[in-house]
Amino acid sequence: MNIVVLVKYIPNPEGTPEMGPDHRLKREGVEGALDPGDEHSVEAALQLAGSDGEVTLVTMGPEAAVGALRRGLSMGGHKGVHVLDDSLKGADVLVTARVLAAVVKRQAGFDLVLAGVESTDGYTGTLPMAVAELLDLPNVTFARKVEVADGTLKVERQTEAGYDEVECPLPAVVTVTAGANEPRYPTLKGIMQAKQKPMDTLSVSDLGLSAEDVKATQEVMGLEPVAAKEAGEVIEDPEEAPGRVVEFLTKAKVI
Amino acid sequence: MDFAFSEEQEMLRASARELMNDRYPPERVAAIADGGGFDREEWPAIAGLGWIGISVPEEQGGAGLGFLEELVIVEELGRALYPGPFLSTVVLGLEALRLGRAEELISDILSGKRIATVGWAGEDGRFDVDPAPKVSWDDERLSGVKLFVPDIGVSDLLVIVGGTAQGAGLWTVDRDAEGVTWRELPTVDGTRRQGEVTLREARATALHIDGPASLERLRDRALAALAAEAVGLGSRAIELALDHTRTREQFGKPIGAFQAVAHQLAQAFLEVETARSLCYWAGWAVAEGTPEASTAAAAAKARAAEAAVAACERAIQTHGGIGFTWEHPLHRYYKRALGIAATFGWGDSLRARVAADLLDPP
Repeated sequence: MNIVVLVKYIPNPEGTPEMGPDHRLKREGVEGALDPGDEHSVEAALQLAGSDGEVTLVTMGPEAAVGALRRGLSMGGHKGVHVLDDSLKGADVLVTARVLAAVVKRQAGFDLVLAGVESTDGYTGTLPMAVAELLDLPNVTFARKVEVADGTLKVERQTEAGYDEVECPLPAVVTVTAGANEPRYPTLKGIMQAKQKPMDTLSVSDLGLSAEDVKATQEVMGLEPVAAKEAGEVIEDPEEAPGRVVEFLTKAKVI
Repeated sequence: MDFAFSEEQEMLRASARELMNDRYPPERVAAIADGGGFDREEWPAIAGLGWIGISVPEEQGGAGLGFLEELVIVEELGRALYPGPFLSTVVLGLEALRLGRAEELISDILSGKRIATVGWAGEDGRFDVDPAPKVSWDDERLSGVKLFVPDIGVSDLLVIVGGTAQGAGLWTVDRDAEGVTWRELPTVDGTRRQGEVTLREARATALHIDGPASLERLRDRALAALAAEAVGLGSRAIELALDHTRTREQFGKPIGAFQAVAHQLAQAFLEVETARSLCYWAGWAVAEGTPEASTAAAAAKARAAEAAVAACERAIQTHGGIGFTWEHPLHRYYKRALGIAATFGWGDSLRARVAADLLDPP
């Protein structure tokens, strides 16, 4: 099975994010890592690919983003594709989806595209669906278990109440939850081999996309910190309290 | 000349740090140290990552890297106070078996199936490369007493270093064989337990070694590794102190703004960083087998252990009252540093050797 995994390099998930003058997350010159959420999709891909399959990791981002690919390769991925182009700075979800979809199209004979549910830095959670739409492929989200049997994809799709059993034909785009597996640590051998594995670096024009295709249609106009939560009201009089609570809940339209 | 670590070595470091952060955070290390000790069931996972054979050539089933890469891992393990038998099995035991060409045992160690430790010091507490004739070897039976044997509780294979009337020797003994008794000693560092082994005509296998030269290599690896652990834990102690001094306020300022606090930590940083330089020099010299390896290893361990002890003392002082509590991790760092200082020779004896080497080069 040939699987493409969409991965993202994000600023150190344990640090405090820094914002740039353009009101966007500072991504260059800061320590970063493969998005922890993506480790689960890489793990799922490695398990599904088995010993005879191939796992291709795809990312778009600044030069340092190659770190995300190396991490995935050290876990056992087979090759990496890095889309590196200055014109992609500040790309919105649609532009990113166009770029990633164009990369996926170039992977001859792919069976499955995996991605995390949402990135740990941006949290839009819409990219995989946009990629699926652009590739005209079925999309299954929130997979807590992914299996392929007789050319059919079987997914346990996490819901609030439990899970749905979903089946769909291949190829498809699937987003994998953190509950799906326990990502492996790179072995020593994996780390040493990661640098020798094939890595393609592509520009927007290499992908056959025009400047218009990658022009962001959104701009961040401003940025404000979330207002600090105000202290709640404390009612000490036991006689008064029930009435006030009912009043409060009525006003909030809870009752 | 580029002295920096390579990208792969940095990835290895990051990977080791990540594993330690995930699996052995301070509260876990505390539970292991205060509880039943390291669970040997956790050891095969380390083997699975390929860490055990890191500096063993590929044709012998290892990863084919060098001692410097091993040292990178050891530094991270020291930083986390990893309570598993890495020093005993990988740095000491495996190398001893390799020196003695005990092929079958080597593969059992590499696979994580067996855990080895080395019993070196006798009742005199010395880790000499020409040990005094205190063990007896007769008719395939070994007798003697070994002290400060690291990780004895989780090991099943003992490699004994000792001296007989015929000179230095190396033997393997099953820990649970007839004639072997052992107990854990009440030593200060609970994150690395040490034991006493008494052999009374225990069945042993003698390994062929090249006399003191083989033991010198084993000792130098241990010294460089102990230095790396000390550098790792010393750095971590300084980080903990820095975190505290940046957030703890007195007189309306973070306490780190006061010279009396800042100078203490600057001094600790200076000592640990110079120790780091010595440690990497020693690691390189041991890896390459250069003539100064023994001098470098002795210098590194002497400096690093003392720097780590001092860094922990300053960090505890900086923390004020909380630094003295059982709940705070610092006392464990301090105790490991003291343990490192006490093993394979104290600073003064190592410095005496460095001085002798410099005045009369080997």
